[in-house]
Amino acid sequence: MSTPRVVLGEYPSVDKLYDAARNLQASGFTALDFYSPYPLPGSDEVLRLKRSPVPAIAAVAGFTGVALAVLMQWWMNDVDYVINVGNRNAVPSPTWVPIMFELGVLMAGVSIFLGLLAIFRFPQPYDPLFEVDAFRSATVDALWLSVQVPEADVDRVSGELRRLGAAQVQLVPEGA
Amino acid sequence: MTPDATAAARSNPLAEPPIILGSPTDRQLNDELLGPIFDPNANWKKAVGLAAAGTGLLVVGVVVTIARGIGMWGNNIPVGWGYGIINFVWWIGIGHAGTLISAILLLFQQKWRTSINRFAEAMTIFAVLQAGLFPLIHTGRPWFAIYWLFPYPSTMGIWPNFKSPLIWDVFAVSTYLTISALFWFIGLVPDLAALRDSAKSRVQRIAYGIFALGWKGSSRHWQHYRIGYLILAALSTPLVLSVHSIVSFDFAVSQLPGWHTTIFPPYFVAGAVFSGFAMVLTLMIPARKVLHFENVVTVRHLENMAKVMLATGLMVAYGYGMENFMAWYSGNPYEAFLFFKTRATGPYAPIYWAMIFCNVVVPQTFWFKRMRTSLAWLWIASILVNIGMWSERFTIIVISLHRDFLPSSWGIYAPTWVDWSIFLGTISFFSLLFLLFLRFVPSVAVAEVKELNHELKHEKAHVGGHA
Repeated sequence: MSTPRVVLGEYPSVDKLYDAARNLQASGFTALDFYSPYPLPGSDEVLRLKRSPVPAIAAVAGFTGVALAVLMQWWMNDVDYVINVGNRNAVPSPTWVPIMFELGVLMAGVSIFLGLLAIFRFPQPYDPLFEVDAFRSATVDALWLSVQVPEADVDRVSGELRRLGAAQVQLVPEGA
Repeated sequence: MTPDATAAARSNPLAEPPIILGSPTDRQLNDELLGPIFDPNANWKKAVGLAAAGTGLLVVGVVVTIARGIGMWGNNIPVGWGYGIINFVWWIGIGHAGTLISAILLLFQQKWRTSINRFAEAMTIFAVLQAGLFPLIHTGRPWFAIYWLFPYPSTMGIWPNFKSPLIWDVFAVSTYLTISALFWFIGLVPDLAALRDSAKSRVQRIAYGIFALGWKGSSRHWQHYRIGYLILAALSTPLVLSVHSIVSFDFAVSQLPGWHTTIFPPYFVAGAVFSGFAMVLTLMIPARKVLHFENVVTVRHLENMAKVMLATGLMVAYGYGMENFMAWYSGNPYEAFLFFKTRATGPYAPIYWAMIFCNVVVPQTFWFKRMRTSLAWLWIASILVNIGMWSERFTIIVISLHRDFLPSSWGIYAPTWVDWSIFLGTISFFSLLFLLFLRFVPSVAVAEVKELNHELKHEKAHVGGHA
């Protein structure tokens, strides 16, 4: 099989977009994606996306932050350099709580940011999709559908997209 | 009332005024909200020049402080904390509205937040930057102060004292700045992509393309993006409450009358939100006019902010009342002396009464719809509240310190020209950052407004179908 090509279709409404996607899925094309200026309700189900790993990433990082805060405060103030003020050197100490909370939030927040970058493979300053001039409307006001198809099926799928109500169909340049 | 409005009121007397005026298309919203970036206001350069000149004051103040030492400030014994801490707390407080609007209102699904959140988040970051400056320079020689601020293995072999609220502050403020900046930037990415794709010049396209990181609005990305953004909001909500609570611990854990009270954490948080909303109004009222955002930042938004100010203003007033009650009820003579003599009739009494007037009396006008919807009054009131909250910090810090337990150790504090220069300099620097923001960054969350616009249209169609 030759390298797959990407065909884009612009749709005037969310219903038409989803309808086209379901039709393509029924004929065996599952490498689909939508592009829209704002999140589309229900797109996860139509695209049959798996659950996002972001909450798990944040939870692991957050609790790591809390654990680090405990270890840091205990080791620094009660082991390595003991600061005993008024004999208030309880372990664990309630005075650890603010920094446990702050470090937990910090690590969870930073992990969400880095996690998103990793999942999206960002920064990605170039994408073959940017070669299609009309596709620039995807972040402004248009709904686009993309589908990966073998070279041989390009014409058939393009016709199918038009039949399903696409306002315009574009082929992403090859090898770009 | 016009016949249309009368009919609308009859069909639903509780119907609220719209959040977005008219029914713009996505393209119209895009062009309108990104307009100020492609077609800047003619007076922008003059305003930037003015703010940059003012920032010079900050540079002078900081250079003098570092070159000649903290003796250039008005701080003395007994008033060891002066403008440095007053301004730190004031700026941090202002920096609370952004996260409140973005995170808490997002979790409560308050749709009106959409067109003001970006604005408020930017304000938060810039205000926290100003705030961070003060603790840094008040150490006199910041490069020697790192070892007690950050836990790194220094050659002295000692660690910070984690039982001190001052070290909690370092963690709280730096976490807050980091998380606010990430939240702001993640929210910006789709708008930067819209900017890249609507840019007319190649330079703009490349510049915004770099910052947009390659965003295409893919549904496979939106899935992760939305959940990530929501979790960040959920994390920011307790974070924003923790920051000013921890700032208040700096005072509340000490023994000084006027500081040693358990009401400080909630009272500081309410005051912070109060002053933050005031600052948003101070900036928003002129900005929406200059940038022509009247149809997305409607009178309803401004009125809602006035309501939040009324609510938080009442909490602050309760805080004042409770402080005074406890001073009387505890029977502690030092506390009673501070609250009933020093504050009300002492050398700094005008500042105390200014605080009461601005923070307690002024927000009461917001009980009236006419006042809440008068732009002129809202703007004046928001500035008065900013002054009032600054006076509150002066009252808490200077008035409590200048007369403590023994009359022999009483003293008077007066800020020097260096104090003033740094304070006014931070206001200019804040304005400078804000002007740059308005010129180069989408100051309204365009993607979110488009989404809201669709939801509202959908709702309208739905309701219409049933009627």
